Amino acid sequence: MKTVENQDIQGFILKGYGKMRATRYYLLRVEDHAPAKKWLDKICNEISDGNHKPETTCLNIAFTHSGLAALGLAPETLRNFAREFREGMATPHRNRLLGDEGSNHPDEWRWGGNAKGDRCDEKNIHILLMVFAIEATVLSAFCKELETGFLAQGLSIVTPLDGQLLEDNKVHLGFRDGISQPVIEGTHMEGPKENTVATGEFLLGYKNEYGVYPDTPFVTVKQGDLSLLPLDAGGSGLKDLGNNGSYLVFRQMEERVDLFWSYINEKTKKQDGQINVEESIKLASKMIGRWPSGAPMALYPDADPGGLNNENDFGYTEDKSGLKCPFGSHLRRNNPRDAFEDNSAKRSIKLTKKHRIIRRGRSYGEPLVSSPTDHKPVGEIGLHFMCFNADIAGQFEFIQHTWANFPRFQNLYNDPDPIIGVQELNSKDVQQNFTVQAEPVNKCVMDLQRFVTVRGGAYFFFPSITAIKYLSTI
Amino acid sequence: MKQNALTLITPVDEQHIARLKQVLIDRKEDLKTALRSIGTVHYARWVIVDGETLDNELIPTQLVFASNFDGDVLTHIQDLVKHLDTLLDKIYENTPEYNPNSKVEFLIKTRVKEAAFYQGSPGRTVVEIAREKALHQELFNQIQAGKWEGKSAKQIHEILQAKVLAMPQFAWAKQKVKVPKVNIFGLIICFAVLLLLAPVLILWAVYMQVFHENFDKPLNETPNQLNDAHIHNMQEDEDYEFQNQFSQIINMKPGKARLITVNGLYLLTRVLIKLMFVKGKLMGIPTIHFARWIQINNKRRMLFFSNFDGSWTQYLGDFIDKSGWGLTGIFGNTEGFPRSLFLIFRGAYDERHFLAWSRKWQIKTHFWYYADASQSIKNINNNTLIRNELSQSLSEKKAKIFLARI
Repeated sequence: MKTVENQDIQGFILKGYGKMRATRYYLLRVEDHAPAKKWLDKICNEISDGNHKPETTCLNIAFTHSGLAALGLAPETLRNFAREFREGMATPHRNRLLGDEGSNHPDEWRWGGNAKGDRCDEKNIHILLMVFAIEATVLSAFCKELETGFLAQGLSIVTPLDGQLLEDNKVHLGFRDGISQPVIEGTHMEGPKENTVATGEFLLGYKNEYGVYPDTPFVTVKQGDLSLLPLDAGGSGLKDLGNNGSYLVFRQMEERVDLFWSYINEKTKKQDGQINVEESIKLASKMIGRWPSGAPMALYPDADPGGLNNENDFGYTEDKSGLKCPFGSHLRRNNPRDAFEDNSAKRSIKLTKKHRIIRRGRSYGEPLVSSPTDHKPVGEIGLHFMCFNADIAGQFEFIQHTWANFPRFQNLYNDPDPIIGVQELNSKDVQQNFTVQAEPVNKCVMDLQRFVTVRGGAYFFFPSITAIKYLSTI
Repeated sequence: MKQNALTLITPVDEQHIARLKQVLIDRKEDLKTALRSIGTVHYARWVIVDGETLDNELIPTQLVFASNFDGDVLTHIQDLVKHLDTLLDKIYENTPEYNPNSKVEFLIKTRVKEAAFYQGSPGRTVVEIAREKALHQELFNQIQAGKWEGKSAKQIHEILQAKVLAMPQFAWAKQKVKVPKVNIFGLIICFAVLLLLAPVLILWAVYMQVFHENFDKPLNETPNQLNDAHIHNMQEDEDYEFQNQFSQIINMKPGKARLITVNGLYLLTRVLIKLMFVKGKLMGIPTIHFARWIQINNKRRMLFFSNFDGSWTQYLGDFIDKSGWGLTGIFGNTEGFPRSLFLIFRGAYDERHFLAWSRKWQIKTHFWYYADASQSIKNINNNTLIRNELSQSLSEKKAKIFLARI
């Protein structure tokens, strides 16, 4: 097993930067590549690596395919990046695969689509500069300083996306988020074997769960200072631009908390029409798979133990019939852990490890931890969802399509992921339900609505520190 | 009733290829309506397979029709002729041997037998699948609308049984249907024979490794390196439903030894499909509705067709995760397959190269028909179990299982 080179990896893949409560994600456009590369050369020394423990601020950076082209990376090398990254998130086939239809469609996106013909179109989004700070005022000052730098050096702002970690790391829907993360093999991270996943599932240049190296962008033409880059670990003899890098998936998801809680309240209301707070929270928690506190449904099926709960060392073998945590819950279907289909626990874990992601979500909009009785947001609120994976098709896209969107997941019939898999259907013949497995009969909540809408998105390359340096020399 | 497969292959006039493709696009909806009106067709496709020169012999472009249906082949062919009628003319007038006045004879003449044929829900007809779906929906509705507090599973089952079986539209459900079982006795004999032959088989595997496999050239590309236009061409037909199709044509590795190997493995596959893979899983893969292997062009090329639940990525991933050895055994005898060890090891487990190999030899399915894309193979088989359990007297434990299915 190869030890991960922390000093060459951008930190966000290893750490969620929990102390850094405020964020601004700048989507930047390269206007003039020569000064932009100079800026890159300078900023490269300020990027937080995997060892850095930020006290007040920190920076990470990622690039789109058109961004790498705008910097002048040779077409031959650009061709070597993963197909999904090269094509981008907003293709017709990918819309079908990811469920980006109707109000989710890229034509409606604030950024990352390709229909509007304005600055926020996919082709104008080149660089994602991720700025983190301990609090909003610090962020603001730091950003001011940064902006003076990059605006003078061939870059322009497409749009800034401000975000934050909400109280107790909850999302606007009212639930604690980001608890379960895979432990990356070869890092300082520690955790149970069942949750330790091969490095190559997240970082290029390392072996993945299949025991092979994931596709990585080789440099196939002489360009820039090639002496900076390592040779491909797979032994092709080529220089590897991907080594210690990853692919970052970014989706801006509006959380329609008003619609969500109104729906749940309606489904659980008392006979006299009053809101049944307890039942409402319970149904919403069944849909999520954890209680608002973060306590997993699989361990606490009846009531929220309260407080803040980070329990993650659990499986579903004790809950084979879904009576504790429903099969269709967001949590269970997006990581079936040790009970995937009818496989043995060991085999399930082996299979699910091939479809894990590292999630890095941050909320945007006016802070609101919503509940059955408090769900009126001020303006648009949502999540800047991000995840890291080495194989976008086999990880993020697989999870979104096969586990979240597929209504016939496991042995279900008409149950998409109630949070991120619901479609706006024209046909009345197609049902979209959420089944709560129960005895003597299953309880089904019918006519799910789309509570989360995609408002923007793109695939980014998240290079190593060395690769950023190299990009400044091309 | 027996589920069946029909494969028809006929050369295409080179100058009419474009016209043929256009017919399959322009008349797509008419063809679907006609196939649906037959009432026994689960899936059907037309695929135009490009010609090529193999061993100095020119193989023309060929039109392949493949269907999965209920009943016998002759009736099915007659149904096709009756229901598709002039649509068949439109398609087959682009093939040199077509005679519109004797369609049935022509189609019979073009028939090629499958080397192996898998069914995910053996014996279930289009009609029964549809009505068992309706039965499931009715039971679901009854359960959701009813008040069940204080009742045992057994009582609920009895209430549902009385109520639903009394409905005239579900009278048929009083009849239990025979569900195929794994043939343990047959399997014991099969494995005993394999054990008996083991020394020969092992020697054969070693011989194949040393004198063939080590000299064969595997495909060295990864998925990302494949031709972009080819991938787009495949993807533009995918994921409109949560079911997809897969068509592949691959050249066999040359030589008699490869043919003997693959024929032996087809035989084993046929036997195992009959004895073991009868419950909705093909070598552990739980998403395949139908699959077939066909040897064509003097067994120099292999066609593989399947209809499955989910996406391409999921499907091919399942192949590696669940039946890599079985795949390697058969497809290892085709060109470009990742290098295997003793016929069944490695091969498909080389994930990147296997995925690239699968995509590279995948071909466009020019027309695809499905009777119902809204049910997974698991749903279909689950519905049959529900149907059978509904009419029975169940213990409390079994009644619980019954209710959990709905």
